[in-house]
Amino acid sequence: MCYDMSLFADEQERTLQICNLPSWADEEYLGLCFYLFHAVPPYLPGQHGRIIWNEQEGCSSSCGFMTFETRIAAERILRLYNGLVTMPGTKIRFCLKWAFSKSEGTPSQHNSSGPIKSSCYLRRTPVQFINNEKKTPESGTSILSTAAEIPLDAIENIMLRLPVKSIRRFRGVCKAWASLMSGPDFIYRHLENQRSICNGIVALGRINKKQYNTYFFSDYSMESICCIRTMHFKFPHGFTHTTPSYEISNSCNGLVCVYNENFASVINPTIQETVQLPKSLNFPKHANNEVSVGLGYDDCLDTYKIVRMMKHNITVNSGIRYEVMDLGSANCNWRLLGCITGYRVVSLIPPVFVHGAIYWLISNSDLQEAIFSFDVRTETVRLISVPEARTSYNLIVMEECLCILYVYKSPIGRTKVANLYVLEDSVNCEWIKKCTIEDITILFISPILNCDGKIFVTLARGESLEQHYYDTENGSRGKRTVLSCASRNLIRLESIRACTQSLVSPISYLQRSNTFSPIFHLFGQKWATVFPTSNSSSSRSHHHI
Amino acid sequence: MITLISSDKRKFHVLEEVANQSLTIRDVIEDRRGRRRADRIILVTNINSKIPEKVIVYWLRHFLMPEEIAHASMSHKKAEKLKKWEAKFFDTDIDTLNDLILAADSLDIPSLFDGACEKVSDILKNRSAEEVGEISKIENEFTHEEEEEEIPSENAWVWRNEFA
Repeated sequence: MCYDMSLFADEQERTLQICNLPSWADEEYLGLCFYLFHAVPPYLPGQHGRIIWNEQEGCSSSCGFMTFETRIAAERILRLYNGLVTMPGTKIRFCLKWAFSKSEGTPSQHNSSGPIKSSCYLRRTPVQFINNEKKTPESGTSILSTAAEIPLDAIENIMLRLPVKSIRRFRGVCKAWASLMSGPDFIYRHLENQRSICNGIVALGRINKKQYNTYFFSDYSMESICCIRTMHFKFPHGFTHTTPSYEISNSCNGLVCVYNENFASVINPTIQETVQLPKSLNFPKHANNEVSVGLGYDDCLDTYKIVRMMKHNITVNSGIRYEVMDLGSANCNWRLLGCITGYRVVSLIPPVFVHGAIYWLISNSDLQEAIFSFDVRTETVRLISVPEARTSYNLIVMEECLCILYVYKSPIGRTKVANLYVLEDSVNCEWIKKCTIEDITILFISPILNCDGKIFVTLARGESLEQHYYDTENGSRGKRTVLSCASRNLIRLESIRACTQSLVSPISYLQRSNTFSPIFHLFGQKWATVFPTSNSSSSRSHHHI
Repeated sequence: MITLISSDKRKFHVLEEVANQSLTIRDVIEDRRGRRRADRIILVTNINSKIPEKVIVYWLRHFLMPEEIAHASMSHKKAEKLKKWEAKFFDTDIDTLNDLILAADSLDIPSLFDGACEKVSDILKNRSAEEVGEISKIENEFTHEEEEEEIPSENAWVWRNEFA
């Protein structure tokens, strides 16, 4: 479609010029403005209305031309509209004049800034693209013919609803999508969405025959368990049956930390990226160390903090030392922070991360339990007392609140009863008893997922994963088999954690520091190592304590 | 009464209260309050007549139960019904969904926008990248080497369904 000013003589005299059009106006808009008052014949795209705008002044000075059916109609419009009627959708009044004054025979200029330059061009609007495309017969059945025209925020909205797997796949569709989907903003918005939609499970286990440590990740939505996809892959290191067993930390934004006494790595099981952390120099080496690792996200600095708690020395209640590493800061090194004397970590209960703090369950020599909290942003620590002076608590996060579940034997009968407490006020340690779950047949050991006030407990029963749930609101309960691996490989599950699916890439965080190794592709996963820098800060702090 | 005019010149008369579900229309009406009748005409230039029909149906369905939405606990059954109805409403071809998204975007109807996006994402969920490229008519600009680099792990992943 090209713009030609040489109209037929009779067309010239029934053409009006419309000045000060809004910047978003297009030919179709122009046509409809006058169609409403039946001044122009049914509008055909590009035939009657034309829009010109001055390139040098941007969109602000666009003007349009409209050819009417008759000279009389044009006169009527000029009389009725000029300076009297507002343009539909705007607050500006129509400013009309004859496009070709009889003396000149050339288009008159709508403002005094100078003649319209030769750089005037016709604006083709996306609207017309769509319409033109619609008319072509081949764009018939179930084809997203106008995906390119769909606003990017709609595409983003669609993509935000997709599971991680699909997003990874669709990155290959085109570059615009790839760049949209790898932005940090998209990753976090997607995470927020996923948190409410579905949950996944990370499980660490052994395949007996092969003597490999394997972890596998299963994702499933709460509603349908039939579409479980399980994948598993080997650790990058060769494992023998003598290698000490591994544990999984709490999950945070889809990341988990897999660790034992002398090894730790941050993994995103969904996108299969591993960052192997350096060995710590802060702890003396001795057997049977009780280690517990917590993972937290500092939303202020956008870094992940890995907090490692370890027994001070070999005596039972010698105290806990804890060290921190920031993944995402310039310097990736373990920093020894402090010590809590008289307590040990209850390593069976994994820590939880909620409201910018990591919480561990700790107990003293009298088996008195307490909660140790580590604020990720300020790196301050606190002890929170528990409501009942008893043992065997469980930490849960429900509705963005820290909760504890206390399981005890019912005084009447042989069943077990559990009390659920919610931490209402973390400053004054105020706990509120939310409900009592009676008649428990299974032991409430993590992972505990929460969804709409339901407590889900997933546990390994023989060769299958079973999920029990209990509704805290109406007291209903049930169980279902989530995963059954009876025939193939015998798997001994060692630990299971709830974990959201996310696109958060630990390697991209590592790349911000000065000490990272090249990325390897091992067993299908991306893998990078943090090399400990040879600075003495870690050893110095060790001597200090 | 408000009159909507689609790109193919069909007129749709809607009650103002119903059309107010579109934030764009509400703003326009608010702007022109107390003016002439002609100002109550709104051009919906980028959509054909099939879409306003659907949009108005959607509005009417939602207009009928604004109170129930407020009392979520009371209307559990009705909310379920609405959910079912919406599932049926959005069960169309992707072209229509596309137009609905465009319309919802320009008319600013968040619930319709979200609903249509949800449905499209449902359709796309289990497709391969090639299929999606075909559906959305997007040329794959990646060269072969780039593609290998971009999605290596995808192919190498051990996606197994053996435990399902």
